[in-house]
Amino acid sequence: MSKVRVLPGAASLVALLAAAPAAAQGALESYAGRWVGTAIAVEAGSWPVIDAGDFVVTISGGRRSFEASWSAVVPVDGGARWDRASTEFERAARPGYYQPDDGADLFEGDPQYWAFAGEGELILGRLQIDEDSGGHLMYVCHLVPSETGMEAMLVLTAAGAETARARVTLVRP
Amino acid sequence: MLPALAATATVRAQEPYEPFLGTYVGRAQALSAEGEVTGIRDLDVIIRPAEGGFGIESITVNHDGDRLEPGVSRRSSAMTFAGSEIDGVYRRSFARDLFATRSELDPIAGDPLQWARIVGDSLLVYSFVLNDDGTYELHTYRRTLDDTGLTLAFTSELNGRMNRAVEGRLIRVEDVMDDLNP
Repeated sequence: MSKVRVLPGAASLVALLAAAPAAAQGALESYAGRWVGTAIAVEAGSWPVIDAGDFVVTISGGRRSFEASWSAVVPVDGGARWDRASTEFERAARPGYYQPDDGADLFEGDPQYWAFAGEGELILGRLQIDEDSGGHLMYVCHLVPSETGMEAMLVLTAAGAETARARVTLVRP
Repeated sequence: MLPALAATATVRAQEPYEPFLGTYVGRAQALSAEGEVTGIRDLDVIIRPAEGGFGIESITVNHDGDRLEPGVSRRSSAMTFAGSEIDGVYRRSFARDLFATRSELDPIAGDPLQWARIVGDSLLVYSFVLNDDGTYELHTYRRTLDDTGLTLAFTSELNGRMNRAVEGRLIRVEDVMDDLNP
């Protein structure tokens, strides 16, 4: 076994380099696990589908990437319905942002996903253009850790409709 | 009979954007989220055919009511849209350029994601952008045709909440190229 000699000045640099990914990992660790709750509309907009839906989010992952599976509102036949969205995100070059590695094309009907880990908040976003109507539907989930679990705010914006919002108190089942 | 049939067969179906093609000038009011007037916009818009779709060239002069006073700003933009895999939806397109480093924009890198759509008499242009702090903005330009021009309704939404708007009117005008014009 070879010995590695570390100079005093270099030791702090090594510590800093080691701490950077650990901090990023820590930011995501507080969201890890399976969380459940019921979405209650706080601003109905014109999309009642967002109200009283069972909401489940599962987050798992490592330092540079994570997998999110969550209840999402998706466009269908000119309307919308609850569905599951599952995406693997990897860290993007832009600070705080995570991107899917799926080669999706919004203009071929694929959903455009994004994630952002900020101070005390994880944002999961989904934008899709309905192939039937041509209208867009954007669904954004804001996750904020709380003393008892997590609070989620769901924001649904659709072409030609007022924005709808729902709140979910999430607990580990 | 046969020539008449042949003539009918050669009639080209009109593209949905064709009624919007033209040159327009007008004026609009900028509004805050509370509906208060925050400024005046003088508008100059040209919508013209482009490869695979159409282009929109726009010049906006921002002022407080008198464009001869200091503090006036002028903004111009030009973008083209080409048909996409989704009927009625046009994606922002970029000119083919030998030296271009990119042909598509990346919203996660901070580039705006832009597309257009025609619904009835309205041409809608959307611009979606992810900000550095994780907030997201959606800008919607709705230009609706009438007998003499267009009405414009612009909204900017931040995290799904309207934070500013522009409402205005443009009339269709003759576009004259005149080198002798002073």
